[in-house]
Amino acid sequence: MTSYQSLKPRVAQILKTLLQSKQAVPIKKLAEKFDVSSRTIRYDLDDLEDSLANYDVTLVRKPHVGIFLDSTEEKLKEVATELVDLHSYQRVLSPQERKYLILLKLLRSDEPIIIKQLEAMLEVSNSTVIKDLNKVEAWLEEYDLELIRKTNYGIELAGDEMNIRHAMTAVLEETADEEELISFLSQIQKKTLEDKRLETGFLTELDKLVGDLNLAKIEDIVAWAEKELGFQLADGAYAGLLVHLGLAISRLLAGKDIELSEERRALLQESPEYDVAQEVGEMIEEVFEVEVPISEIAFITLHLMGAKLRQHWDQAEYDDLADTDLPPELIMMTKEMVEVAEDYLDIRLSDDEQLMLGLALHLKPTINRLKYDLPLKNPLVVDVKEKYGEVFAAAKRAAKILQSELQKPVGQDEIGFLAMHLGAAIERRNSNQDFPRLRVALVCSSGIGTTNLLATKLKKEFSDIEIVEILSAFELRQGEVDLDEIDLLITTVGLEVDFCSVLEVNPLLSDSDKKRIQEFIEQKKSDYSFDSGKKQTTVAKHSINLETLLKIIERKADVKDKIALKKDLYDFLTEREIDIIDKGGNQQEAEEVGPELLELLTADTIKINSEVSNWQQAVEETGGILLNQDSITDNYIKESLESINNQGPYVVIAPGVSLLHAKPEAGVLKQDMALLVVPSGVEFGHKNDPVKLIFMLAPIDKSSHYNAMVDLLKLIDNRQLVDKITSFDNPESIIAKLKDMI
Amino acid sequence: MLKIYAVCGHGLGSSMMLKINIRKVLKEKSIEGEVDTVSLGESSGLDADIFVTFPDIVDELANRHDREKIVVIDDFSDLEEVREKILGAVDKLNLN
Repeated sequence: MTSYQSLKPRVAQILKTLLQSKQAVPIKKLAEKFDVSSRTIRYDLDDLEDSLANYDVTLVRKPHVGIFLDSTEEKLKEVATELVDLHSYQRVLSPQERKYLILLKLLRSDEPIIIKQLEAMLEVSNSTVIKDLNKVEAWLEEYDLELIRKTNYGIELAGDEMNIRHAMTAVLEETADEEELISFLSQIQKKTLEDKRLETGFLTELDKLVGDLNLAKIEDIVAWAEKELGFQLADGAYAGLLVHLGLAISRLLAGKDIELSEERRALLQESPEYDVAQEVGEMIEEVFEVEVPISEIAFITLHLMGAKLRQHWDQAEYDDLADTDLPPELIMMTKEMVEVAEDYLDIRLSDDEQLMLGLALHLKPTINRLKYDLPLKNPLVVDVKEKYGEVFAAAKRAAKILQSELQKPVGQDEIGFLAMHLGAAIERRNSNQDFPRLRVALVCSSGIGTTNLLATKLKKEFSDIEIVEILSAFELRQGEVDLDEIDLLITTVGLEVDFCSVLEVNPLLSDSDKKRIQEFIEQKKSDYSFDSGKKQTTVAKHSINLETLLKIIERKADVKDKIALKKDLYDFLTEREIDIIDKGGNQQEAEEVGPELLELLTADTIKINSEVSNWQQAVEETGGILLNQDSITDNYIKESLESINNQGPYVVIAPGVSLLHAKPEAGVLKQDMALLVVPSGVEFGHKNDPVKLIFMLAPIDKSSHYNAMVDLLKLIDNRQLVDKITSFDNPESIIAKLKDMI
Repeated sequence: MLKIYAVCGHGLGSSMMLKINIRKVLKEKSIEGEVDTVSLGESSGLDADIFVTFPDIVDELANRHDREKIVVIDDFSDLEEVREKILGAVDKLNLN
């Protein structure tokens, strides 16, 4: 059998893929899976073909179809056990992997382990094992466990049983990610464990860790507990609880039980989850014929409390939850945390009901986890930090509230979850509400944050899809869901579904995921001849409020001409397809970012004068103000007069109010406005005489005075304007009054 | 899309304020439409569904455009008047 030793790791993996697949696998698919070229795969297949010859197994390459293995069931099984398993460790293990393998061995061994055993298992030298052990020791220290090394005796673990359990869970969480656990558990679900060909490697270690326990029976217990608790566990929590119970039972069978302080136990006994835990304990006693002590029940209670609540996202369920479940203190704290994040990010989030409730629901078990030191791994924390750095920083600040409330440190993993909730809300905020068309069901393994983030990302990226259902992998397999109406399943977990199109994606939606979904949509569109004439609405990716931007500039710079700067910024940004929005989030036209009335009209351009005897004099007097400011030329005044002479007194725009102006080219040097107040009144020959307020506008172009005119319109709408303004005897008071009225 | 011009002597002051109020009315009723200002002189070469203007220059405007298309507003600051006359004109367009 020595010839098999030459099977390369990738070749072994290809063999495994072929064994597991029920259909022919295209070379292209294999190339994608292993991230190598098709040609490399062909060479690998040549190697494989040679090795398989010894087993009477033929490797068939069928053009346009793919590769498959042709032989009897029996022969294939033989290949699986001998070739694949043989090669499971036949690669060089990384130091990290060696560390975990040593840990697993230590954790499940009752007797001291001799270093020679480890050398053989890992196929490394004595000095390498010693180095590895130093790392193992450091890792164990974090869980308050001690590594005892004695010459002529071996190495073993010493420490509290509770800590040993924590360490066991941690090793599993660090090695097998959530999705692996799920797929492992789903194999149990399918009752195929008898002839299981488990993923070689760490999951076999879990299997060894829980010994010969019947996991399917534990699963029944978990399913029962789920019903009793009245909510569905997220797949991750489900797997976590299953692993915990499996470990607990095998440890109890080995006669190792945990100690919890009286005080902590009493605290836990008060919670409603304790009753469920008690019944879980009774079931375990019955099924596995082992005694479950009180401390163990309390520990199970902890796990039940820490379990994440799985959440569907329709409004009715939100309302239900809002009505029943959430204590006001929790809502308060959620609000405070969101406000902190809002301040940091300068984005309004607290009006997002989905965020407030989702976060509150998330915080409930989070608080329990922190209170009872039951950490939860966040497999996405690194991704979240990288892709949503700012949001993560905001979440970190928000977490300080949690921290000071509980007097417990809040770790990166938990901050990551908070960031995911905030990130989802921001994505929602940025997303446009278009009319979705493709019916999509989302299948997720993780908890609220991930699912929600993915759902909103999908909605934002693809206006052509509608997410009609969010399912867990378990629900899907149990066939409880009607998928007739579904066009596409998008999943973050590996699925074997043949009745529906499936796309597997990263929960954070990578660029290649987006591409594949887009391709699918395009395909569907042409298949069913979706009305392709309709243009896809594109969302402007960025929008900016100019006032906010100006405030930032003015903090550090003296702005000479704010109005001109604003206009230039507007042009600069819109050229680069950045939307300019007002405080309400509405897009602004160029004219709408012009100066407001009181940016033009100042105490310097207001004059009070009763010595005005006719309208010609009024025009010259008002024009004189702007002339003094170097805003207009003499000619502008002349043309303003002429325009009234030619076109009549239509400059009188409301009772007692007139607005004078000529064209910009008549002599406007700078955009400006003036006001002449004539308390005694002037006759313009109009039905709205006498005119007491004479405004003059010096417009720079056809539209920049838009905002100023909006303000003026607002002013003349107030029928008391004339009386009020004429009652003042100085420009400053008039400005103050106008400010008040706008 | 509905196209409206607000017309005054210079196409700057009164027409601007008229435009503001016409937009307000369209927005209220969620009517999609474009409203621009224009001077009497410039309006010659332009076409629109509705021209809105003031009594002083309505006769001159009528020399250049179909009288049917012209709406006359006495007081542009009177939102009630603008609303009534603009919506009336829009309804008339929809009937045709």
